[in-house]
Amino acid sequence: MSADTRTPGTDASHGADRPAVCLQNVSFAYNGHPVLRNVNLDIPPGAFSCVIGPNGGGKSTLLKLILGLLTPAEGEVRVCGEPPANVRGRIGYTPQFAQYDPQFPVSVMDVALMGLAERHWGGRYTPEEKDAARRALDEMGIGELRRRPFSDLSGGQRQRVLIARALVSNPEILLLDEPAASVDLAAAKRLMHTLQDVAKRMTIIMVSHDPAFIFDMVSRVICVNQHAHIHPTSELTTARLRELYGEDVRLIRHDLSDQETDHAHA
Amino acid sequence: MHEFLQALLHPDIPVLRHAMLVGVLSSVAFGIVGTFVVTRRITFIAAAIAHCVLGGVGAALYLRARFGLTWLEPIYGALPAALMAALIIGIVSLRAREREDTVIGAVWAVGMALGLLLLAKTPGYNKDTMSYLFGDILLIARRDVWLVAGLDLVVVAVAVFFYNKLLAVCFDEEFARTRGLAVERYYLLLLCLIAVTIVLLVYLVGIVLVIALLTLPAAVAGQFSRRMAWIMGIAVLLCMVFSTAGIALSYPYDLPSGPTIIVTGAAVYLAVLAVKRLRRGLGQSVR
Repeated sequence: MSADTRTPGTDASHGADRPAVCLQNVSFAYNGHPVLRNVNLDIPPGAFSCVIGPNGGGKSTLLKLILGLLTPAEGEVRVCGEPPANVRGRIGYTPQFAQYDPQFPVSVMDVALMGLAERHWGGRYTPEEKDAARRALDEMGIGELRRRPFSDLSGGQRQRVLIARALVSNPEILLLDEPAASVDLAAAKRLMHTLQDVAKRMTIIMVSHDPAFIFDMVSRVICVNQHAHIHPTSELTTARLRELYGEDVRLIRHDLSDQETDHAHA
Repeated sequence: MHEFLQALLHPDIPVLRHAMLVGVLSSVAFGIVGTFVVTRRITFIAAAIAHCVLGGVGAALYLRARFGLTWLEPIYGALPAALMAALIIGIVSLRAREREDTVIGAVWAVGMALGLLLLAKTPGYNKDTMSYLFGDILLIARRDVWLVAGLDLVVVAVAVFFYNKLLAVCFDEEFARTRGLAVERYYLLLLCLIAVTIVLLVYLVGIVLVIALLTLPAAVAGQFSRRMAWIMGIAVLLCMVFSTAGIALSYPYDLPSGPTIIVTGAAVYLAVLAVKRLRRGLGQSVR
């Protein structure tokens, strides 16, 4: 299904007509097991989208195809109108929590600067590069932690550092793989509020295992279970979610301004 | 100690000065590369590369004796053997990560076995294999000091030039890949740096003890700092202290220098851990 379901007023405009991300008839299989089948997606510039779906449904694979880490068996992936490998500098990425050694001896600033490592030769970063890292950390609300060892931070703070690392190169598209997976609900909500500000100036595609409390913030939801469908958030119903997850799922919308809300989705 | 200082300054005993110089010079490479080994948790890859060095040493000595190649020093065999082991392990672990431990074990044992076979068949070979296994500062000559200094310079230059990229790749491979960094190439580069460093280490402490001197200084340094660059700096200084103190202690008691260096390093590591634990315990009891 291909649809530009842009909701006016919620997306930041980049003034470009071509989609930020476009998948055409994309299929992908791991060792012969199909993960994605014939996926068609058009994500306009400035959209804040959430990718949801059951485990093993292909959410992370979709992100990796957009990043160019995986190549589709069939079909074509275009990011900013080009193959992903050509535009890596314009994509920011925050992987799932458990992909690095939390005891690795680096400071918060060191981690943020890694977002510029590909541009840099030699031992020291330039003052401009350090300024960019400071700005990214400030934007994520952790500027004052920049000298601290990364291993000292809480799960939520680390996640913010990793998002700052993705933002430091000032990307046009930000991909987040379950950014709230390892933090508590209150921290997750604060993180989403910060991301809402970031979304004003770039396209964001975020995988989430618990979509309930972000529905009020994103303009569209991409439901992925081998196939992918885009829905405007307002059109997402309990029936659609049941169909997607294949079990009894209820849609409960949370008020993000409220500190103590229930959250249960399955 | 007086006896040691006299020997060190004695014009007829240059070997002690050369050993000290090699120890201090190569500490720079050991500290930097050792920190990568410890933080990236690839100690066993380093150990396998080290044991392969015997294959290279054996091949060089065999060819030298067999074909009268007097210029063929053991290090000319050690360096390619170490690099080859690094590349084999690196490529296999990148292509099939689940086979990494198998290939590490295989390279480790086969390299060593080849070395022993070649040494056994080297005509007129009468030098103790122990020298290569456990180090022998008497093997260090003046030209080795220059060679070590040269290799040292290469390791330091490469590590500094690629520092930020190596750091990014070691911290989070997947993210580095999304930034367009050639992760595989940097991983192999790191393994080659480790290989060259190990060849330097073999001079000082021998094949079997290499791993301890590569990891102990970085492990001690890790107790004092949680930033990679600082750990490297402290590890370099500690490595200089361990090798100098080890040689100085081994001389008056007529002990083998390699094991003395390692035991010195291990004693410092344990002492640092004990002091840290004690202070933590005191801190808790005060509270």
